[in-house]
Amino acid sequence: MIKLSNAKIGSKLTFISANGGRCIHHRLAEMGLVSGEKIKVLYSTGHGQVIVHIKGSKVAFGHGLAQKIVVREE
Amino acid sequence: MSGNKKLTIALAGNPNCGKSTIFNNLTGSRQHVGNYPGVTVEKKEGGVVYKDYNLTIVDLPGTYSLSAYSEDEVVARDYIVKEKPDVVVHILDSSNLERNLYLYTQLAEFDVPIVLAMNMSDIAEKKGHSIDYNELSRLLGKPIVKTVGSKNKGTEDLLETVLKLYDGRIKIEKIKIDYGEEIEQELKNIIKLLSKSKKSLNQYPVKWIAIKLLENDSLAIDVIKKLSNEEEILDQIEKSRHHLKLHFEDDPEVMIADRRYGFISGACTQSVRITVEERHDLSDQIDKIILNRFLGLPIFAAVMYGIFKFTFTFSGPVVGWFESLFEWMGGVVASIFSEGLVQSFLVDGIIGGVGGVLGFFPLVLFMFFAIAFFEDSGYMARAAFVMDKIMSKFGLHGKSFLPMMISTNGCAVPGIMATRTLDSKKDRLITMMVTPFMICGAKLPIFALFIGAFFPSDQGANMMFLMYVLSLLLAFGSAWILKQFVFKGEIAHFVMELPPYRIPTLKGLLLKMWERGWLYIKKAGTVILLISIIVWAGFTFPQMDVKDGISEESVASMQMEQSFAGRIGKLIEPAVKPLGLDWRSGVALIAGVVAKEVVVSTFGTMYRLGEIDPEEADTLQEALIKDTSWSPLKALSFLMFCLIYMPCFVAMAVFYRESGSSWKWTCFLVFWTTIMAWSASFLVYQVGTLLGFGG
Repeated sequence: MIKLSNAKIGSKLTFISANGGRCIHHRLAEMGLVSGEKIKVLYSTGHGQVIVHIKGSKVAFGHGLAQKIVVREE
Repeated sequence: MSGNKKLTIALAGNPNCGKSTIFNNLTGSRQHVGNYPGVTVEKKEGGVVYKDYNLTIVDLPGTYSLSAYSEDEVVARDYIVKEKPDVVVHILDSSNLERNLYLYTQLAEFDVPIVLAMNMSDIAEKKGHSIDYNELSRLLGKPIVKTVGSKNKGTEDLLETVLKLYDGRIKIEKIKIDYGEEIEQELKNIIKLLSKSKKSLNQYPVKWIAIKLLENDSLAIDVIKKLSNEEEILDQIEKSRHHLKLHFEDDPEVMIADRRYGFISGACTQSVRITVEERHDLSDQIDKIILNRFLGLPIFAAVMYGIFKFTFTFSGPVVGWFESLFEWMGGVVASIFSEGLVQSFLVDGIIGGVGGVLGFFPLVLFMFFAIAFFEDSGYMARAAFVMDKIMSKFGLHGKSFLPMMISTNGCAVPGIMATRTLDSKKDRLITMMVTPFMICGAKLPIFALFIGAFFPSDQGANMMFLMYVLSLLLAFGSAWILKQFVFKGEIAHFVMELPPYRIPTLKGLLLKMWERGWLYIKKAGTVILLISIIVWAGFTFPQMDVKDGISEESVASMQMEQSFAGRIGKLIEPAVKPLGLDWRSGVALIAGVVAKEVVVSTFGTMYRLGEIDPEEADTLQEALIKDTSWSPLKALSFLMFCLIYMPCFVAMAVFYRESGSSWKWTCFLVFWTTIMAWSASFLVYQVGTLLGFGG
């Protein structure tokens, strides 16, 4: 299991969980990021900013947040 | 012709699902667009007569969800619950159904008649999504209409379906999302308690409130606070949430979201076949460049610079024509009316004042067009992402960028309102504090006027760009100070959906440009006109007794100095003198608090009044150049003050309301900006003089 901020560009991942407050957890779930969801990294700046494909949409994560998201590499 | 049956239709949907295009298609060119500040973030209302129906179409703010985290979502859901539109049209991006249907799972719980508009159906087909609309309609329990907003396809069909649903010619089915045994049981427990209370739930459907309570939604909790068995309900919520947390090892609201997606995924599997492997090649390649950690910022700077270059290069000649037009008008009016108060009122007061502002109308239009292009293309969301890292260093949220951009060239009023999309209250207040620093469409004429008069013409776009950079730095610097001393704490996380790139349609751009441009004209014809008249009267009365032996020129200047406005100016002159400014600038700055364009119109009136022969008057810019009391350094000092000092009345009023009716923060804003403005101008002028730029 790795942090989303450390994931390589182009890698396919499974969302495990997010550390952080209740609010952010819920927001992510509403975007479709629930346990077991498959996502793909489109771009990563290497400094914690990551763009991910989730359910056919592109979602951008700011630095800080991507470090709190735990994923598993396929 | 007007219809006899009244019908209200609300348009709901995610941002970027083509909602505003559908709104424009439905309301057509006869639309009556009104911005209702304070009701929603750019909620638009348009009326249209169709058959014998009088339709009012309300465009709700685009949201992904209806939870209570941000203000715009609250607005959308409150509208549906409280205003009870007859029909809700939910517009979906057919090429991204799963994500778009999440909002549907929440809308459906409101028990309102819904028609689903499957928009962008052509893009979905191109992407190889084959959708069985009948099957999807059956699964979702709502009628479906295929639309292509950009080509105005399906609009008639959509209206027909809405009417059929309203007349009861078609029925909708209630859908039931299965939240699973555990959650359903807890919902039942809560509903039982809710039904015990005699009082109403503020018109909210009981099941919906129960779900929201289980999600720990703050507004739902407010609703039950008035109930007699409040304690009992709160206890039950606590118990239910605790039980579910133990059971799922996750928050109930996360599980509820999960189940909603489960329902959506079930519906999509049965009705959507994806025949082509999903490919994002081109758009992904563009993103890799535009969002690149090294290239992102330079590209953003280049885009902004491009906007200014475009605006100044192309609007320059047109602004010149406009100015000549008003000059000519002044001459004609002056030749019709004989010298006296009436002539002065028309030529100096109205043409000099309002004409001075309207002269810059082409410039503002060009700017609106350029900005609309980047808004519609999908770039702005990317720019927010690119700026996020820097902004967070200064205590701003990445999303703060969008309100600031709306304020830039647009207006601080919708800018301040757009802060509603920010989740955190602190982030919101900081953004609201710094948004007025941006150079809005009303300040733009001031800058264009003074830069045009005192700096080389080939440097116009560069100077303007520099001013924008400066305004951005000021906003960032202020945010940093506020974050250090006033709003301490962490910034909320940045997560944002990036819309697909689209080539903006010319029609869409022109409409947007015209909508905003029309507001500019309307303002010039109302507020600016009124203030121009007051300013003119302030300079004209009391009338001075003309003594013999004084040249006409000195009569004009003496009259102005001893007038009401002149006396006020003289009174505050000591305050602006250290900035290199005289009493006239003082008057313009004070009048400008009503609306920033008034700074220009006041100078327009003042210079017109000073002219001896109204038929041969100079344009305002020429008059400024001829006036030897100005120098480039003084002009710069004046611009600095205009850039920073207190926002106009309307912006202050909106700030007051959006800050939660806080006098404390509103006064803080006024003093903070004005003190900063004075200090910055003081520095520019005094340091400039020391360095020998005084001239």
